[in-house]
Amino acid sequence: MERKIEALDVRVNSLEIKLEQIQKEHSSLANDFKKHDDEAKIIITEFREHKVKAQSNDDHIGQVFSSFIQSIHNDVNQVSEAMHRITDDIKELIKKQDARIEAMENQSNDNAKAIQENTERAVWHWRAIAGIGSVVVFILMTGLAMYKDIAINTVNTTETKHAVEDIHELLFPKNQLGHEK
Amino acid sequence: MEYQRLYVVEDRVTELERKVEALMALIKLVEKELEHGKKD
Repeated sequence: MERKIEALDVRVNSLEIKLEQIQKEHSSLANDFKKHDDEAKIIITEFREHKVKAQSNDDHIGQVFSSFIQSIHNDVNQVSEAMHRITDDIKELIKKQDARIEAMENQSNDNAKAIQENTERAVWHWRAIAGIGSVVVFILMTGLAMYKDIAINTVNTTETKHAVEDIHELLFPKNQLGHEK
Repeated sequence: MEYQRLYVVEDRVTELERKVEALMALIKLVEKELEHGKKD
């Protein structure tokens, strides 16, 4: 029994030593754990701050992007309205141009008709003038021929006869008229 | 009677030794994990 108690005493002493060692290890581990815990708390705090900052940046970027999209939308609307206005103006110009072309065509047709009528009228005028001229020339020639004969037959002096013949020769050259003295 | 008490004490000491060994093994494991954590 005595030996058993001694053996137990040795084992208990060994246990005490191991317990002291465990306590030391535990204390060291507790310190390490506290250190890690503090670092983890700092990291978590920084993470939260970064998260809040990131959220704020995200919101800001979202607002800027939304504003940018709205601006582009407004520009596109303005360009579209301008295009519609230009298209309407072009349609109006084409309509006016068509009306002008139609008016010019009508004017051209009227002018062509008037020119044709004037030409026909002028032809008839010139024909009439030519006819009347021929009659007048015929009457003048006949009258002059008759006057020559009457003058030659009625005058007494040779000098006067020659004078009349000279005038007649001057007015109606013999070769052209084909008359023989 | 005294013997009986001695056996009881001996059993408790044996159990305590097992627990202490288990605790020391656990502490070594934790230390290894901490070392790994520091390396990472």
